[in-house]
Order: sequence, then C-alpha cells, then structure tokens
Amino acid sequence: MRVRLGPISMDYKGIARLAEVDEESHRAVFVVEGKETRGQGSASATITNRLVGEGGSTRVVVGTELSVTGRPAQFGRGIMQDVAAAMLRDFAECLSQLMMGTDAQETALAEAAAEPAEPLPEKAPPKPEASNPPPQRPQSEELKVGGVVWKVIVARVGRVLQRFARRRRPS
Amino acid sequence: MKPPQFEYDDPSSIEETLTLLTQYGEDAKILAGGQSLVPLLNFRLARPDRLIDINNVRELDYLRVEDGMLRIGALTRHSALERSSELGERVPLLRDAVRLVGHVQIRNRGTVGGSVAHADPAAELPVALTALSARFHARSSRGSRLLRADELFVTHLTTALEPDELLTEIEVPLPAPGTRHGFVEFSRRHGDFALGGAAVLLESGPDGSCRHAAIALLAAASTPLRASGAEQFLVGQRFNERVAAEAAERAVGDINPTGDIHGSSNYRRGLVKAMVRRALVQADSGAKEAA
Amino acid sequence: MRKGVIGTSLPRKEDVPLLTGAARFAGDVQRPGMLHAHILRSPFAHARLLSLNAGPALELPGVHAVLTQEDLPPAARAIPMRMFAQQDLEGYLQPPLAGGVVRYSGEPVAMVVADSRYEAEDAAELVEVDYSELPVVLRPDEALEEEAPRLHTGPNRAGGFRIEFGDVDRAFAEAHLVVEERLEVGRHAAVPLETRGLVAEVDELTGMLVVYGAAKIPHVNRRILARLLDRPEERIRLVELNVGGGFGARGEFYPEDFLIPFCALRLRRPVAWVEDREEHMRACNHSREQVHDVAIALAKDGRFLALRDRFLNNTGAYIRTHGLVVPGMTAALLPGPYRWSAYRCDASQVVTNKTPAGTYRAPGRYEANFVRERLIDVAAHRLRLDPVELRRRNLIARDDMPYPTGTHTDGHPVVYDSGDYALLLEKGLARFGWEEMRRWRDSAPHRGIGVGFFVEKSGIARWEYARVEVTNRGETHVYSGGASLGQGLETVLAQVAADTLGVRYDDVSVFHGDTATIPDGMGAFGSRAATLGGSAVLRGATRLRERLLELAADELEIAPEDLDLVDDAVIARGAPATRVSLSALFELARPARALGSNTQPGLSEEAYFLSEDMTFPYGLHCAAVEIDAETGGVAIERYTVAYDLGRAINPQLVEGQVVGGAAQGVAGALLEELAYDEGGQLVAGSFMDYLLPTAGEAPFVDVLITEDAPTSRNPLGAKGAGEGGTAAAGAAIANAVADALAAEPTRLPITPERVLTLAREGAR
Repeated sequence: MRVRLGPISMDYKGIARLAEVDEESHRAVFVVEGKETRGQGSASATITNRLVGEGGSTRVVVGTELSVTGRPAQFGRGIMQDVAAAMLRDFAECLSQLMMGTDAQETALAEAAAEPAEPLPEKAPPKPEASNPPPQRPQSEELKVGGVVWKVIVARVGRVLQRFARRRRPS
Repeated sequence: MKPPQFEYDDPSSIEETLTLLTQYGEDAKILAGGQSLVPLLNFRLARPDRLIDINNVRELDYLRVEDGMLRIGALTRHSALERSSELGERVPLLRDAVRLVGHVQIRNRGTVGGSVAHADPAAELPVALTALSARFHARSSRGSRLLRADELFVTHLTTALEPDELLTEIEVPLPAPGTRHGFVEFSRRHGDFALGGAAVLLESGPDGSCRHAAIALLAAASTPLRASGAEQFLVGQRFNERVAAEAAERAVGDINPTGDIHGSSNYRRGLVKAMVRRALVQADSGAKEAA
Repeated sequence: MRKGVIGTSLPRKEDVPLLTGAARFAGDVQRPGMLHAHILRSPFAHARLLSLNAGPALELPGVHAVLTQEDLPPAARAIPMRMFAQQDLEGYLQPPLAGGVVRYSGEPVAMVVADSRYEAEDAAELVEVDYSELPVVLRPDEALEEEAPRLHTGPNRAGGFRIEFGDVDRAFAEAHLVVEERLEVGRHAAVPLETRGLVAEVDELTGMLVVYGAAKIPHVNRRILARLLDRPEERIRLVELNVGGGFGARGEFYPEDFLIPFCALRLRRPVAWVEDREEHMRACNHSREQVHDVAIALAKDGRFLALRDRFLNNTGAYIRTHGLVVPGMTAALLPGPYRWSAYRCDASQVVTNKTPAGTYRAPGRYEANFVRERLIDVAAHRLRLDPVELRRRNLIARDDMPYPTGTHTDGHPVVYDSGDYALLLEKGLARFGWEEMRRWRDSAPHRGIGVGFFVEKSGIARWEYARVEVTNRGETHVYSGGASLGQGLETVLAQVAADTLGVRYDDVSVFHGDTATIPDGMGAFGSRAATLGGSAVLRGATRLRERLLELAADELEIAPEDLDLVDDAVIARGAPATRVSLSALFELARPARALGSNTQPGLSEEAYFLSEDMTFPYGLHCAAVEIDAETGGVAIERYTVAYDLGRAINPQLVEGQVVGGAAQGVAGALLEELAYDEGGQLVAGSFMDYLLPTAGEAPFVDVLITEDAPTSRNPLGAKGAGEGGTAAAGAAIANAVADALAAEPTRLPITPERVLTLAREGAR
C-alpha cells in the first residue's frame, strides 16, 4: 500500500484483516498492519466502523487508531496525523461512494465522523473538518491514498456494513 | 539522513521544464528553494525518482505590478518580497507575512512558488495570498489554467496541480486604496511554523463602516481557510473591540485544528480566535495611524 | 600570583582557530580508503528481535559489511559503568548491538559499512529485520506497577538508595504546616551543536588502533574500549579534535564508541561515522525526567523542620556509563542552602522504553533545585510570607562553614566548604532590582517575579594530571589530562601556567586529549576542568619555576631568591640586564649536560592534583516574566544570575558559561521536551519539534560574579563555573510564572497550553 501526502510517499507491505464483527452492535473492526518496503518502519491502523441509525438514513461512524514507527513518526509537527487524516478522509469517501452506489436507498448518508476509540490527548485520531466542504477529489488517483490493498479493505468494510444496514431496515 | 538516489535535471526555461514534467511528471518533483523538500528527502519520506531543479529558470523570478495586479514569478525568493519597497507600499499584508517566514537564511533560499505548492496550512504565504484573493497560474504542455486559492489548496501538503503542471505565477489583485491589514501569528519560537494565526484585510466605506473584509486562518484546517461567516458579519459594522471579538468567535466557529505535542486542538482553536481578534485590531489601529 | 594574569579576561586561545576555520572536527577527518558506517536502529520501543537477514543489503555494490550482535566478541557484551556504579545495575547495561530484545526506539541493531554514507543508508533499508512487538512502558511511575511490562530480568526499579538524617516522621508530625506536591521535570537533552563523530583506523606500521573524535574523557574511554576489545590500553590511541559542545552527553562511552573501532580492526580499513541529528536525538543520552513526591514540614515562624522526598529518575531502557550519578546528585544536593534538622530521600533509578539517560549540565541538580525552590514558594504562599523572606530565615550562616549537610554522593559526605549565602542573596536581589521589579509586577496583570537559590557542586572525580614544559624556543607547553568541549580549557590552563611561571600568556600552548602524549587524565565534566586541572597545572608550574630559578642560579651565580622569571628569561632582581633566557636554560638542561652536572635533565614537570572533597559554588537566579493570557506565551522581562565561585580565573569565560547555561536552563523550563507517543516513538525527533532556544528566545542574562567565598580545597581558591547558569533556571522561571498566574506550576516545561490551563485553574 502506498500512502501519499503531497511529496511524502511511504510504501508498506502488509495485511488487512477483519478483527472483529459484532452484528449486535453493528460494529466491525479492521486491522491493517504494514511494514515499510524500504526502511525499517511500520504502520498499523485499527479502523472501527459502527452503523448508527438516524431517522431514515444511516450514519457510519469511523474511528481509527494509528500507530506508526520509524521516520514518519519522528518527523513530527503532527505529520502522521495529517497523513492519517488524509487516509481517513479517503477511506470515508471511498466507502461513501461504494455504499451510495450499491445500496443508495438504505445508506442515504455515509458520513465519516471520526470518533476516538478512547481519549488519547496527544494522538487523538484527527477529525475531518465537518464544516468544510468535502475536499475536492484530487484529479489524480495517486495524490492521496491508493493501492489495491486499500480498495480491498474499503470493499470489505462496505460489504460488512451493508450487511448491517440491511438488518437495520425497518420491516 | 542521506536521500535515496534520484535523477537530476536543471532546465533553464519554462518550456524545458514542462517537457520534463510531461515526460516524468508522476515520478518527478520540482525542486525550488528546497526548504521543505530537502528535509523530506533526507528523512526519506519523499523519494521521487527525479528532481527537476528550476533554480536556473530565471524567467520565473520576477515581481512586478501591472494592470492593478501584483505578479510574482514562482521562483521569486521570500527575501525579494521582503525587500521590495513597492510591495511594502501596495500589498503591505504580504510584506508583513513574509517577514514571519522562518529565518533569514530560509527566506533567502525559499521561493514563493515553493511555499504555495507545498501547501502547508501553517505557512504564512498561502494564508496571506488566500486573504488577498490571489490567483495561481499553472502551466503544462497541455495548456495553462488559473486557480483560486480554494481550488488550489486541497488538503495538507496537497494541491490541485497535476503531476505535469508547473506553478508559474501568482497574481494578487492590488487592495483598494485605504485598505487596512493585519497579520498575526503565534509560534513557540521565533521562526517556527506557527500554532495559529490570521491574515486580515479591511476596507471601509465613506461612513467608516466596513465595506469589505477578508479573513484567512493559519493552521486552523487542512488548508488556508477563509472565515466567510466572520467576513459577512463584519460588513456594515463599525469597528470596535466587541465587534472584533464577535468576528473572531465566528471565525473559529467550526474549525477543528489538528492537535500535536505543541498544543491540543482545543488550545489551537482558542489561539486562532485570539489571532483573528488581534489581526483585526492591528488592521484597525493601522487605519488610525494612517488617519 | 604575579602580573594579574589570573583573574583577567584574556582573549580565548581557542578563538583564532575556530574563527579562521583552522579548527578540525570529527567530520573533517579524511583517511585513505576510509569507509562509512551507518547504524541500523530499532524502530520499535520494545520488541523481540526474531530474525535479521543482511543478504540483500550485502549484495548492493559498495557495501563491505553488515555487523550484528553475533559478530561481537564475548568481551563486548555490555558497556560498563564508570561512575556511581552499583552491583545491582550490572544486569541493565547496554550491549553495543541488541541481541534478542530491543528496548527503545533507536537502539542499535546492526551496523552497515559501505564506501559512502549514502550507500550505507541505501543498504540499511534492505536489511530485513523481523520484530515481534512487546508492550511498552514509558512513565517511571507506571513502570513500577505490578503488571507493567518488564524490560530486563530484574525489576524495573534497577537500583536506588535512601539518604536520611534526623527524625523526619516526628518533624512532620509536629509541624505547623506541611506542604506536599508531586513535581515533575520533563525529559530534555544536552543537544550539542556538533553531533558525535568518530574515525577509527589501524596504523599498519605500528599496529596501533587510532580513534579520532574522542571527547570529554579520552583516557577513561580508552580503558573501557581496551576492556571491550580485550586489547592492551597502550595499543589504543584516542585523539580529541575540536569539539562543538558536550554538556555532559557527548564523550561518554556509547555503543558506537565500541562499534566503529571494532569495525576498523575487523575490516583493516579506516571507518568513519558521523551521527546525524535524527539519530542523535534518539541515541545520545537524554536527561532530567524525574517525578518527585516531596514535602516540607515548617514551623509557625517559617523555619524549615524537615524535607522528605521520594523520587523516580527515568533512566530509559538501559543503565549507561553514569550508573546512579543523576539520582545520586539529586538526593545529595536537594537540601540546598538551607538548614534542615531532618531529611529523608528515597531515590529510584527506573528503566522504561525510552532512550537511555545520563548527565546533562547540572545533572540531578536542575531537577532538585526546581523541586525544592518550587515547594518553598508554595509554602510561602500558604504562610502568606514573602518567598524571599522565607528563604532568608532558613539559609545556612557563613559562620557555620564548613557545613556538613548530612548527605553524601556515592558514599562520600557532602560538606559545604565555604559560602555567605545571605550576602549573595542580598547582592543578587540588588543587582536584579528586586524592589523595582516588584513595582513593575504590580503595575499590570499577568506579571510575575521569582527566584531560585542553588548550591552547586564542582570538581568531581578527585584528581587530574598535568605536565608543564619549557621548549627549546623558550616557550611553555602545558599537557593536561582534561578535555575541551568548547568551554575555554586552553585559555584557563594557559592563564594558570603563565601566572605561576611568570611567562607571557601568548607563549603558552596547551595540549590535551591525546592519549599518546598524555599518560593519564580524568577529563572534563562536573565543572572540574579548571579547578582540578588548573590546580594540577599550578602544581607542575610551581615546581618547574623552582627548577628554572635553580638552574639560572647556577648559571648566573646568584641565589635563587634574588632571581625572578619575567616573560622569556630569568633575571636578577633589580638588575634585569643580568639574565639567562629560557631557551638557554633548555640547552643547559639537555641530558648530556645535565647528567654531567648531576642535575635533572629536561625542563618538564609532571604533577597530579588530588582533592578528596568537592567544592560548592552557589548562587541565585532571578526572573521577571510577563504572560500573554490569550496565547500562554511567557516573555522574560529580566533575568539575573548571581554566582559566587570563590575565584574567577577568567571572568569573561565565567560569564559566557553562565549565559549559555541559563539559555539551556530557561529553555528546559519553557520549550524543550523529548515528547513520546504512547507507542514509545520519540515524536520530537528533529529541531522542528524539539525546541532548542534561538537567540530570539534566550533572554538577556545579566551576570553578577562574586568572589566572597574562595575554597580552601584547592590552591587556586576557585570553584567550578560550568553549571550554575543552568542549575536554578527551571526553579526561577516556574516561580515567576506562579507569581504571575497566582497558580502553582508543578511540571517543567511550562508550555503555552499549560500556562493557559494554570491560568484557568489558577487561584491558589
């Protein structure tokens, strides 16, 4: 997986797995673990997705916990949080498109509102600026987050969440 | 702390640069002043296959006023802005902003185009240019286009420039005569990226009330951010401390800055608010001094 | 003493080479066939090292070797302690390269050697290391919890001790007021301008292993290196070059100090390594991080009855060369300049998954002074007493000197040698303009003034070596066992030699840091270079002068007591035309002639100086600050340091030491912090986030040097000057901030956000 943020580019090889599916509370936890393909650093993310019904629509609440080692962590000025924010935004957008496209009626709104799994003052997962218009999709796919693995994760998250959403459908 | 291998080109014209970008765009990176790119290379966080060094593209190094417009070539150094008396007279906001960029060594080397293309939301020039409603010329072998700040700045360190595009010029409409300005930021050390800041332009009508206001926020979001709610609030108001405080409150109404070891999101939000208020007061007091 | 050489601000001998570019640093060394090393470091703060495959890296052109722990000889299992060693700590020592487990982010795992640093770094990316992450513990208090991850075989409390005198419990039971706080000092580091650097080579003609880039303690490090390499000391030569700052951190024996020479021996090629800033921040000693639970018992009139402290020193993942130095210094000097009838201090050296820690300018004392002086202000606020007055009532009196404090350093009793604390307090306050600054404080909101009183120690590690020689050209050469880290050692020793002998300052050259020309020495640390090193020079120069006068007496047929040494000749008193030059005396002392006339050949005198006890300079920091209540910014309006060090050999150098030290101390109070994320990554890993002060942040420091209390523990009467500028800066700044906010800061550094939090919570 390649993570790109402007001039910053990090390549990770690794795995993504569905760590936990809780059908009762409509919660799915994905864990992505990667190791730098060049260099010694690593990155892992725990992505928690939860469906919350809001009237006729369904909100997807996404929380991430990111742990990064190596130079991106040391470079500082919260750069990893910016990278995480970019990843999260992209994730949410991909997810939204996926779900809108396949099951628009049930998931009228798939909005990513990052929700810290637990309050971590120094490293709380960044929240996308809710008030901003969603950032324009860059013209190039490569500008933010790309790579096959990412799309696979999004697709899998989407499938799980759609399953939840169907179960929520009022009968 | 040594960069990985890269190929290196040093074109001497825009045309030559665009040809190289067309050929290598995705895998190449423009090297201008190198004040952000070189540390990223040394940390191996950026690893382009090729650097296109535009320091010999002299035609990109200029600063001139024509047709009510300040035109800044992308390769113009920060120090050139700092030393231009014409800039100081016609667009003093930009002069005040550039003085806060890094240290003198950084300003001697860093370029306006580089700062803009790097799109760091905590950098001074993108914020000042956003307040000034600047427009940005991008060229590629396919043609050229002109972008507004809100079109150019996409997110952290990310612009809408295509891999084959080169930022060539920044055009800044000259503020109307009598426009007052303020630029305020707070950093923990002199020369650091600020934790929060604001750029302000105020234009008053004949009755002394505000006719036009521009407020851009620094380090408040993933891009430089215009506080349009606060701007609208100010129009028609007569300036006083209470109005400034209210405008500042509105300016940070829905911002949610990224927190880090130097300050939490909450702290930064309060800081940006204080900076907006102070920038407004600075702009107002500048007017009084002039009067 | 003659000619007023000592006590004069002569121009620094070091400046000409530095300002003309003639100085040579480790990074300047070029040797034929030199290879470059890069250290591969663990990205994880705690992990099991499962496997390491260097194969792909070795295939890269230009790569000569990848060394791992398996390549190291058995003698090199662990880097030993050199000071304040304790048997219990042996199990916590750091290996030069990690074995089965890595314990901090930045721990050396392998070394890649290539034709260039670029190629070495490219190759390092290809080394495949498999780690299995282990849970991380970062705070010292959490490290002591039952369920905390354990770093080593032994407990996370690697060592510790108690210092106690008097009946503490009774004093607290009977006290009118007890103030108790948890006070913390954040982690910061020395961060010298020049990072570490080494070049090692084997001289194939002599078989000598030569290591360039030694600093601080070349002879001590030669001893350690010889032991780890299992090689005779005399087959190793360490050479000190110009050094761009040390401040305690640079020059200690680190893993690289073994790895680079070892690699040069193994490859039979010169090997160079220059630490880059990123690795410096994770590899070189950190310091300061302590958590204190401290209390003072006071009588109704403000008299101090007892001081009780239990503190944890976060020493990071391993015990390095300093053993228990830092907690030892904290516990020994926590009582400060005050009388206490009872004292108990429980010190713990705690390991966590952070970079190992060691000494940094005023080690243990910067922390102790912050803790004690902060708590005294809290007590003053509770008693509604002026904080200065509370101090004044409790100072040790001049007539009580020498004063046994009841504490000890590494088993040696701490007995203050001399001092007039009350006098210094008044002089310091007057210099600062205390009354004027009080009015300034009262004239606007958010302004505060504060003080920090400190007693420093200087001249640790007992002895130093010197050799003073007259050359055939009649010039004077001084060889010292000390070292120069930029502090002006050459200048000071030349002043002592010139003054003692009677020769011209400009005719004296000082040499140090080369184990080939200097048989032994202790080095430069703990404010010892001038006091112990200078005393050794004084002793050697005194003996050499006597011999020169005797030689001249024979030649001129005048009694020695009627002769004087002036500039470059010995002259008859009252008849300067009757003279014999030093170069002529050198000829007379050549062996052929000297042995014939039954006198000692050569004009060279070796001397050692030994002092069982340290000396104790003392001083006062005063700060006035103004706080921006919206940003939390702290602006320093005025800063004064008053410092009594018995005798200033070169007042300008002393002032420079104090100003530089204060810049570091103030930055530790407001800016610098080695912040970690919860995974144990150092997130302040560059100068973007590790906020060293620039000229814009360092305050103008007004320095008052006093010489009211010379020491009798060395013939110069001088006490060390190196650390007083730092020692109480954290205390003074924190107390001024407390005064400005009417709140009690309990942690350094006081960041803008903490200032705002304090301002909000405020109102004590």
